[in-house]
Amino acid sequence: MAGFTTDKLMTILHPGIIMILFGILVMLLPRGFRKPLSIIAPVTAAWAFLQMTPDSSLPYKLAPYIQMEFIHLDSLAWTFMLVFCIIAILNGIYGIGIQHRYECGMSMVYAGSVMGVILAGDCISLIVFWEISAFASMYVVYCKHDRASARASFRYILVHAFGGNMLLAGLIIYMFHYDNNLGHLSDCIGEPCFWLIAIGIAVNAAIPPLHAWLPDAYPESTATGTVYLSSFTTKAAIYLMLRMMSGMTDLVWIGAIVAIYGACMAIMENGIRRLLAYHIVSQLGMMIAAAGVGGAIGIDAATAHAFTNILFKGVLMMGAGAVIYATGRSNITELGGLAKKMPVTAGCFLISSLAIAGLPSLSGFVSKALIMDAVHEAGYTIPALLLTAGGVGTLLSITLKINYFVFFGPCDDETVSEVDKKVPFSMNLAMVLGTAATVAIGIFPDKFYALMPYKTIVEPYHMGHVLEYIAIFIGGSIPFFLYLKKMKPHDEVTVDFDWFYRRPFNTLMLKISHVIESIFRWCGIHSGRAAEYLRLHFGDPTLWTRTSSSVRIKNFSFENEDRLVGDIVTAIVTVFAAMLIIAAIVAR
Amino acid sequence: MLLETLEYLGIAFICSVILIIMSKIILQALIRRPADYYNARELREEELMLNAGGISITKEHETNPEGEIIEEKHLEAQLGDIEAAEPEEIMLEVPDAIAESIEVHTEQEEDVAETVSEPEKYEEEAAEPEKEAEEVTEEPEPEPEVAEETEAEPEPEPEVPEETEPEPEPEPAVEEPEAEPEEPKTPEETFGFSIKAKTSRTKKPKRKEEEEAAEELEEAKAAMDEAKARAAENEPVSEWTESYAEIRDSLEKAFTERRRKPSMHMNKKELTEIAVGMGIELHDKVTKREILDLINEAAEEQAADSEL
Repeated sequence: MAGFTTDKLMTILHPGIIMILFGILVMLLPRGFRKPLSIIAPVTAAWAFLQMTPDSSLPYKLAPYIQMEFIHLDSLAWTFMLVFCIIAILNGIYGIGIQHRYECGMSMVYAGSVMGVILAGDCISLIVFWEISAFASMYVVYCKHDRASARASFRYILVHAFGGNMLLAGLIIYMFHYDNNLGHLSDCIGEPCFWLIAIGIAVNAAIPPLHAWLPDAYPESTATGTVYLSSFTTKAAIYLMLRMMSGMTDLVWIGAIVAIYGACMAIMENGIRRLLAYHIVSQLGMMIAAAGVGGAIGIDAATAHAFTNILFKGVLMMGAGAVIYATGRSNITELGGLAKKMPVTAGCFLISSLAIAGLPSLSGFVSKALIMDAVHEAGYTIPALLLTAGGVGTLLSITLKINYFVFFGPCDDETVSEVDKKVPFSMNLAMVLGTAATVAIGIFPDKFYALMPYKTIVEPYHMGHVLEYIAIFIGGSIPFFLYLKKMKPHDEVTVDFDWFYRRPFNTLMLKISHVIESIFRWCGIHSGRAAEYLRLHFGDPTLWTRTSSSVRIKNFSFENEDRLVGDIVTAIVTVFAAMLIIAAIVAR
Repeated sequence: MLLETLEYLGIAFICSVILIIMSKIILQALIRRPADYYNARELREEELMLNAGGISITKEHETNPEGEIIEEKHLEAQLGDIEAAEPEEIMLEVPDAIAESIEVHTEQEEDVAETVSEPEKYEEEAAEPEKEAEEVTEEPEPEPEVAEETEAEPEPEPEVPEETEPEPEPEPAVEEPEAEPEEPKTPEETFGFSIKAKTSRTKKPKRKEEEEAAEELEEAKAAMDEAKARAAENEPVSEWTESYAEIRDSLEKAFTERRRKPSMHMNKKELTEIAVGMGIELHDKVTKREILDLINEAAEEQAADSEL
């Protein structure tokens, strides 16, 4: 232990493991400990993270040739860890008054495991934390404890088990052929390990058609649970994509299509949180496109948008949770004119929704500027147009639709404009802090860009760029008001790719299980009968000849009398058994 | 710069129109389904599974932030349609399926002959007596299907029920719990309230009543099957009584706690339902506020009448 000082120890305190331990403590300790620990845990994790240096290392030798590395803090991981610590603290504040003990504990385990994914330096520690996060997040989906959340969490874990197993298989093959350290997959493009890892990441990054778990599961969780879920899983996948797959040009097209797809689905939705969930898909498309551009500007653009998205999407989810908490309703058709009753929520929601649409002076404008610069610089004209259209979709679905129909528009007879419960101070505080961060990033873009891995600087506030976004705002808003009647949501459900595993696959599995059950039942019945038959016939050998009991063997005995076959068999078996016994005794 | 700005204005306008047409017209027609598209089928599957497992009452708990159970959603859902009923009615009414289950199990504890009963085999072998019994008692109650499970024992010839008091089940093969009460209690004594088989808030046509009676009979049969399955597991009667007493308590709690007064917190549909339940006629373009006023007026009138 020579040379092992306290300072050295401080640098290897793993924030993720700290969060996980606090989460377990919250679940084990009495209820009274929940509230203080829900703040202490993320603050401690953030403090441990700030103590870390690029040299920090926490190795563990699993086998002679396999070493795990729990802490690998490069600049990319540092940026993601920073925003995860911030949102963990905000979520802790938000949920302090409304969270259940186990939900709180599991949320901490979930956040900690995702931090573990970010800090993982090798394939094994990555997959370990990845799987922990899948199961912890499954509980976070389920923690509402109703029928819908139970079913949604089951579907969630099925999809994530599939994705996790794909990633595991891919990483095992990668480790076998290459190295245990996490590296870029450019060397193995087209190989099985590449595709398996790509599928594993695509599931968590919600790339269609593997995205349906996201709008299916997120709206079913509690108010706090949805905020946690929207912050961590998908962004960890984007981090992994940046680390292993950045610069793969197909991703630009995939990202642009995903951005449009998410926006279209979001426009159709009626549930606030389901709409926001689809919007996560759309925003992930922008990050994927930037990751596809690659290089310093691409990685910085994707990281910057992930950073800002975690903050403003977090506030939007918090606002949606506050509305549901106060009114007990989640459908836009049932809500209206809430701005007067919930001014803080409405204000924070409005600012964050303007930020996500890219209004100048807010964070979304700063990060989108980086993305659009990256895509334009790389020469992708059509993907850039698609991304702009995705941005217009964001404006339509969140900034205009939710704000108009839920908060600021007129309240008609079908809607509820009163609140049943007052939103707790802690929820309002978290929303205000998140919004303040969003505004601060928008006002000080240079300081924000300096936090990015490659510190790429662009000038977002030049006149052309500002006018461009104002034009997008105006041009995108006009059709909304022209088609206002059409834009009004309806109380219906949208069928997505989850239809495949909720309808035909479900029916198929039921049929298969029915066939299997029939086979096993048949085997069970007949094996029982067979066993009974053998038991009876070995116990009474004459039964073997029961059907021929009338057959008599002539002149078998000394007296020339006729004998039954069964009697003869019994005699033979008895003699044979006696011989065996005598032989065994003699042999001894 | 102006041209560039106009270009982006045009792009944004066109994109916005295309997105609206795509999502609100094309995709709407292709992938929009009724709100219970998945739910209805899943509920049906769950019901089948629960029936297969001999379970008919499921409890979904809603918990407060500290994890305490604050309401039972299943019960609340069943009670939703009689929320607008009068308070004194509320205290006496429980959902039909549960009510009949309670009756059935109470009858198991006490003399079965108090209410009419016909075993399934009895129905097959002696259709005539069954008809008589139904006519006499007016409240047909199913009996546990005991005969099928006791093939080893010779089934005694079922007796034809006589007039108002049909004979009880000859020998219930389903073992009665050991702690059988010495003196049979009436449902009022057991639970403190009588259970109506059907709430009669609004008068319905006779044919509809008959259909409902048939549905009730089916539900009662299902409840009886469940009772048989439970009794086959030798579950003590006292536990049944306790469990249903709990249900009764939770029902009362749900009614007293969850019953919402008409207010602007409700949407128009809910207010309309309450108004119609109170016999108020509404025209098509009535607003929420007007409905609420009408409800309040009607309530005041009712209160004034009751005082007189």
